[in-house]
Amino acid sequence: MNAKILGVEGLEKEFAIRGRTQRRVRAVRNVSFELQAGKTLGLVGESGSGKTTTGYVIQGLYRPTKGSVWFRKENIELIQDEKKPLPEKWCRHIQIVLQNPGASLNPSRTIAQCLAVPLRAFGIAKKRRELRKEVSELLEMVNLPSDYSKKYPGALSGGEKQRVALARALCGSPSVLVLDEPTSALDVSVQAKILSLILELQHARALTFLLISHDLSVIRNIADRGMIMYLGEIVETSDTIELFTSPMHPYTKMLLSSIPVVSEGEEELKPARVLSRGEIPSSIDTPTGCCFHPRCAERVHECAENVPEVREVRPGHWVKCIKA
Amino acid sequence: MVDEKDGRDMEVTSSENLLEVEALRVAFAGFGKTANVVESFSLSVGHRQKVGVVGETGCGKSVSMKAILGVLPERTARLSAKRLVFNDREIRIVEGTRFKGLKGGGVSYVPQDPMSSLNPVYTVGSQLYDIVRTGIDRERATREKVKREILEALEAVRLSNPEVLLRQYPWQLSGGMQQRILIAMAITREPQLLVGDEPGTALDVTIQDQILRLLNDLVKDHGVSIVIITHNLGVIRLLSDRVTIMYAGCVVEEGVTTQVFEDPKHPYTQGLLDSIPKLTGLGIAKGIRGRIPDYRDPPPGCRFHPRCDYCMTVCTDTRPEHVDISAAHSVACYLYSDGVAHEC
Repeated sequence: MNAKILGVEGLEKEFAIRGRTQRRVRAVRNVSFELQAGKTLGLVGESGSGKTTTGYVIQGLYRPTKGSVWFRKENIELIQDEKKPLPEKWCRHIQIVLQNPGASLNPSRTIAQCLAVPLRAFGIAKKRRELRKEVSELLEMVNLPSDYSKKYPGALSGGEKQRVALARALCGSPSVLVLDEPTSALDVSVQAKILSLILELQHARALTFLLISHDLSVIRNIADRGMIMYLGEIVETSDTIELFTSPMHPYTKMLLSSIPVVSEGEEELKPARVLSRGEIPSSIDTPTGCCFHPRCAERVHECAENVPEVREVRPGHWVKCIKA
Repeated sequence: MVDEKDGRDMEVTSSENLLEVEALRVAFAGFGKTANVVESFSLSVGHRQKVGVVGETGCGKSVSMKAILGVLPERTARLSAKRLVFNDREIRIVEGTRFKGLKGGGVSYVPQDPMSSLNPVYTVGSQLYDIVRTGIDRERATREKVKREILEALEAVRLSNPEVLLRQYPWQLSGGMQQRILIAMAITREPQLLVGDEPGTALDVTIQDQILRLLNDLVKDHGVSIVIITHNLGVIRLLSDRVTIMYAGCVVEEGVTTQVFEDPKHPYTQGLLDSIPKLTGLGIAKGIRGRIPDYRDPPPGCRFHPRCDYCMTVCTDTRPEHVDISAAHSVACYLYSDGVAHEC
């Protein structure tokens, strides 16, 4: 099964800067990709590279400045006008799990109240008894006991909060989930449990994931395909295994070689040591030519002048670098 | 004997290590109940050595180190230790008296979150100036001298363009630069020991990598010893010579880093290492079940036993002592004590 469920074409997202300045933050620049039904696409990059903005646009929290996002081709298209509400189908079928569960759950609502909001809004359950049944089913789905429905988020551990956030995202039986750093706020032993729950849910409910993460090891184990993002642009896309075994873009190599690993065996899997240098520039003043050239270890003269083309170096492996 | 100079209760002794802590206990008085957060914390740091303290959130890593430094809230924290030696001086912790800790005297602390540790309404320069000035004798503290020391520190942490930087506010800087400023603040006093609380963990891997290289160079060039507190085992493997694994206020395993990572003995260490997603891509491990105990009512015996897959009856009532696996590796677990030789 290789059906494409959601696609993004030439996506741009700019933010105006307050004040008299005419300059704008170009958070996402010319991004195109497609999500395969039932698969996981990993989106990696440093903070400030535009990963979360991309996720928000897909979910509909931000409207794109340019470009289009489609879902199930003929069905619906994302409207750019922010004043018009999103089609209900869009909200129901594309949901998001946010980064920090401590901040994304309302501390003054019990778990049941929190889950009831989307259940009512989508018209899934109206009466109290129906709501109670739905809530306990949702909690069971994320392996939480049903008496948690009466608790407040403050009484829950980080891992449990993230389970509730997952349950909330699953309310309307979505087909696409945007997972924005779902485990970055958690300890490793809890992270492992949340990640296996996410995988279980994907198998049981045929979910499609866009997994946003800065942790490459998580992407390696969960995602089917990986995309590397730098300063709002996709610099490399490939199947996960190929991306990790033969990275082509210097930025991918730098990221991979910076991961602190825990065994010799893993150390051997990393590409030759590329000393990381510099920091990601602001997306207001992006460098000329290839946006990565000021930090690149392999740069040549043309890199500062010409914007490299995205080329398919191997079937399914796209790189935006003149040397690849 | 009370030291005249700073009024600390200490005695001169000799030790081959820079810092030695034995059986530190920290409790916090709460509403009616006392939380016994640190049950037994021991640590020795040699000269020019890099030591890592690892554990999950809430394991008492930061509390232990802050207790030694003397920066815990005095009203609620109750400290006791069998032995605390720093720089050939034994420091007694007397119950009921104010424990000043090691702060200021040769130990510097780099706090956890760079963003919230710097004051957003003062410039970087004025914050550095205050620290350096307090360190130098008031009479000798000329503006030029202070400035020179600041520039030296900024150079040591490899911040370019210091003149511009000193006039900037912390929020104008990136996370990596803020972290460097904090390290610069810590080294202005030329400490013998630098305690880094989660250095670089809030940052991207590429920037974290740069910060870790910087810390490594500080050991090489300036001869400081480092204690790194972190939950990231990968960071520890890169940066430390010895590692101390903590769980719920107890040291469960201690040893030379390479040995502990190659052959972890304690079930908690094994679980932690298993939980980390690997680059080998062999899938996601199951993690460790349960969660950290409530410190007001911790489980008796080994504090890890409710979460342990190898739990035996003895584990539930007596706290295990440390057993030496080799000369440079010890573990607090009954699986390895004499007589009950089990294979894991």
